Amino acid sequence: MANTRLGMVIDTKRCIGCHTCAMACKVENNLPDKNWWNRVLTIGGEGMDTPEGVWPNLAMSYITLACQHCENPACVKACPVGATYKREEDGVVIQDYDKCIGCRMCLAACPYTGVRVFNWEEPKHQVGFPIGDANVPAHQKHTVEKCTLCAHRLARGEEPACIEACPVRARHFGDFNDPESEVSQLLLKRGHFQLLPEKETNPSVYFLS
Amino acid sequence: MDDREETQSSRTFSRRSFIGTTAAAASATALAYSLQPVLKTLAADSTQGQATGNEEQVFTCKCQWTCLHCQYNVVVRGGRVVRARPIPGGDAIGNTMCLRGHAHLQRIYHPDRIKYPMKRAGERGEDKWERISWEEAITLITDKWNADRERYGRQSVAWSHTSGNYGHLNGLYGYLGRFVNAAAMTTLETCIDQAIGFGLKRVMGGHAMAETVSMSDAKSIISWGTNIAEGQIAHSRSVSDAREKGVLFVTIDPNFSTTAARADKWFAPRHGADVPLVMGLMNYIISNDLHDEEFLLAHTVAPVLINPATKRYLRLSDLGIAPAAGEDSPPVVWDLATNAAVALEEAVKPALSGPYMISGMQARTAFDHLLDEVGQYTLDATSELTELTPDQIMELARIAADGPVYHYTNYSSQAYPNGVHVGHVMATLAAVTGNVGKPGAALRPASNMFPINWGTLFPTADTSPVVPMLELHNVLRTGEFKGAPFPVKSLFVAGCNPFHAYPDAKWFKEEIWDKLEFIVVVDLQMSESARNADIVLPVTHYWETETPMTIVLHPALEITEKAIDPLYEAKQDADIVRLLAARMGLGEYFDMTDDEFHRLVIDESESAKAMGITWDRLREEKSIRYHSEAPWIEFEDLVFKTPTKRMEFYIDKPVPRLDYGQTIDVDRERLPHFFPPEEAWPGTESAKKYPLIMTSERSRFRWHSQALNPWMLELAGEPILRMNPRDASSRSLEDGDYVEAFNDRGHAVVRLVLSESIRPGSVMYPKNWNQPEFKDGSWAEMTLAMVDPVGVNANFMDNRCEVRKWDGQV
Repeated sequence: MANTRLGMVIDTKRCIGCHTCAMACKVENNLPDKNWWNRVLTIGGEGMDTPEGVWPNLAMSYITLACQHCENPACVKACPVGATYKREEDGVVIQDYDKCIGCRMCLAACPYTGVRVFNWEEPKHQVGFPIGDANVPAHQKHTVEKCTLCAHRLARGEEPACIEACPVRARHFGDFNDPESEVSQLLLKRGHFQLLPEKETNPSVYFLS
Repeated sequence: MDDREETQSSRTFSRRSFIGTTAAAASATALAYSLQPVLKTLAADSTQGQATGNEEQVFTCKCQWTCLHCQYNVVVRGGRVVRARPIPGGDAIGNTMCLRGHAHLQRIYHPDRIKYPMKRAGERGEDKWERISWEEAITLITDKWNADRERYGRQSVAWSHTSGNYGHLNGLYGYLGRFVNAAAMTTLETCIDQAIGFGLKRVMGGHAMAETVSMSDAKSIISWGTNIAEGQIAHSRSVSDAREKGVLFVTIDPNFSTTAARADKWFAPRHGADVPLVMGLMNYIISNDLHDEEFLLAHTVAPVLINPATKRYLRLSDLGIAPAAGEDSPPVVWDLATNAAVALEEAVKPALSGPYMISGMQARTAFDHLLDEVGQYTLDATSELTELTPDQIMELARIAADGPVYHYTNYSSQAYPNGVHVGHVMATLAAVTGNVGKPGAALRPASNMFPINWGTLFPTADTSPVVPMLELHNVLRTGEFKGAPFPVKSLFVAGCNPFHAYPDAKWFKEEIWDKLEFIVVVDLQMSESARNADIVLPVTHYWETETPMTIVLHPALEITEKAIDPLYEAKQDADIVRLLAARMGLGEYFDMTDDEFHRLVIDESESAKAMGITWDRLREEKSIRYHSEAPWIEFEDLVFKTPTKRMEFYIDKPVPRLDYGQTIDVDRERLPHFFPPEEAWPGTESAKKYPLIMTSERSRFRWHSQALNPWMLELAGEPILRMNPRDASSRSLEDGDYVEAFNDRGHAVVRLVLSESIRPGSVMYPKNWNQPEFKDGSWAEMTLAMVDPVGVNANFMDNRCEVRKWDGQV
């Protein structure tokens, strides 16, 4: 077991599906056009912001979905060249663009559809110069990319951008291997779930219910 | 995986294998840039005179359009904004920021940003332009204005400014306001979202606001037709905090909004029925003795006797008692201690209810008169009007009576002709339940205006005459205002987008826009107004100028620092005013520097002096809170800003919100009173033709009509109309169809989204999509332009339409 297991706890009771985490991620990581590493999914009807049920007996909530930084990541096993790997020291799942050969085996293996994106073309950016953090690796054509848990910020001892950006304070970050951490404490106090537990990936992202 | 992806993937693998990765990164970047030569030029411009290289600078800036005005950090690298982010450790609600703040830098660098002054080269609206110099632009404008001012009078130039920029220097109360007063230009009052505030204010002289952190002190929060989760995202944090502390969160909305989805209870009354609902609540509360009699007697006009002859307050002067006459004479109450009529504040034990015979008149109290009105709203009657069940009405009434209640009102409930009474009835509910001036009690979230040196708005004895925008068509048609000659020839637009914003767009264009000889628009991007102007001037983005922010959603004076130099030839509004004023013979009032003006505005304010607040201090501290106690609650001393210093739910002397020479039904206005919407109600003339009520919502993906943002478009897609599936099946419509919504005024062609969240029999559209984004038409074409003569306010929710499948080319 790694010394630390970094991850997130997201409070679905507080989350309002506002997409601020997604937008902050888009800017922080200088994401190419159409790429979103973090997305908001409506739990309810078919489309965005549609509820389940029949008027007026309705329910709707949101989850935000990005790389789950699984303890047992399916992507790592699938990658033929070791471009996607789990960091021993903190459990963060990283995608090394320089090693990535663009085979997309990881996309197929990952049960969390859409958290990995593939740059089919030269990445294009609406703003014509690099924005966001200066230490974000440049995006590359024909590579897979995804949430890095803001590894560039972790290196400076900062939290991921989506954590500080959440306007309703629904997102928490910390070390699940530290029983005193805020995230560990939240899991002790509140009911919670992981996404697709049957896949046995043990995500490091938990949702408070 | 589809075929295309398969094909590309085979190519990918072979190519990828011989691209050196470091080199690839560099060339990819270069290639992306070369595709956008415009932006490349832009980048060169934006670095002039600024720090270059990778060194980062952090500035304190704000969102300045009409939202919550969050203050946050803007990060600049190499002279360019690369990120906006929350202030580290800034945990106040006013330091929250949402996706709109994060995405805003895109607006600075958008390729469609207006780069230099332009004059129209084709027909108006044809969108053909000729670049001109600032000197030529200012000469063209002032030559026309000066000639018209000479020939037709100074009012011949009218200006429109609403909510695009609340930065003090470049906003309504800064250099622009000073300019229009000095020039005695006509001010076109917005007529948008003004009714509820007027209704609250005529009862209390204020809005009974409180900072949203006060929600945690409440027993319940009731959101009235507001979508806090999208419109006021930062306030959702206060709601969540309060809910975790056990505060009940109630949403009242005809639709299952994203806010309703988060609520403990959701009540879904019919559209436009908030006034009868609150009347019904008050009737239940008073009938069941849940009202606050002590509060009514001590802090409202409830015991004031009404003169049966005039229907105004009975005053000592009416009884022949000196000293004062008219409105200076104290209102009279019946004192049960002495069984005599005495001055309001003299009574030992004022009577809440009458009647009493005084000087041959049988006078009843204001409370009695309120009961006459409220008493009509029995549970059954209220149920019929609101389509809530009697049980729901009783439940809500008990919640409303069990204060403190944080009522969160905003603008949708009041976007009907009856809108003033939404404010009036909410204030009356607060009076009846004693729900004001204490922790947790509120009728609106806080919005504070710093007490500036108001003299800065009036450098001369001249003031700007005010004409309601929705009365301008009559002024243009007759050449008169309030019976006197009042020619208007030119329009000066800054900080707003009237061509888009006003209802009944075709009517607005024909009756107002097309009748103006000369239109100047100051804007950041080619808004609908800019596209339909004669002269367009490029303005700075919020973060390109330094300004105090005097209107903040909590009692603080805050700053937006200048993060970068203005791009292209953009000038801030204050500099545009300086150029205009100089050629209008008003230069002497506008020759001070920005810094000198800020000192005049802040340092010379008596209130600021008393609080030790200066411009220099603001530059140092960035945000200065001027009410130390948190949360700030309006009317905590229960002294109301009315003639009686009480809550005047019975209006002694009703007046219209704006006077344009109209007559009003004074007696309709004395007490909260319901009258139905013009269209969005059963049995209206419009209902015979158009079965669907059509309303709008404010989306999290827009800054009002501020123009296109590609990142937001990636999320929001395109203009849509939401409809309940059962209304769709009866029309053979399916999710994703392109449909035409239409009524007598116009149409809009958009994609249909089916959702059970929409109240059957109605449709709803996320608003503020600009006309060119539609397949055809626009929402603005379809909305109703009539105004009530008291509220003089646009009724954006009061519409009907029908929807059919679009037969055009997608």
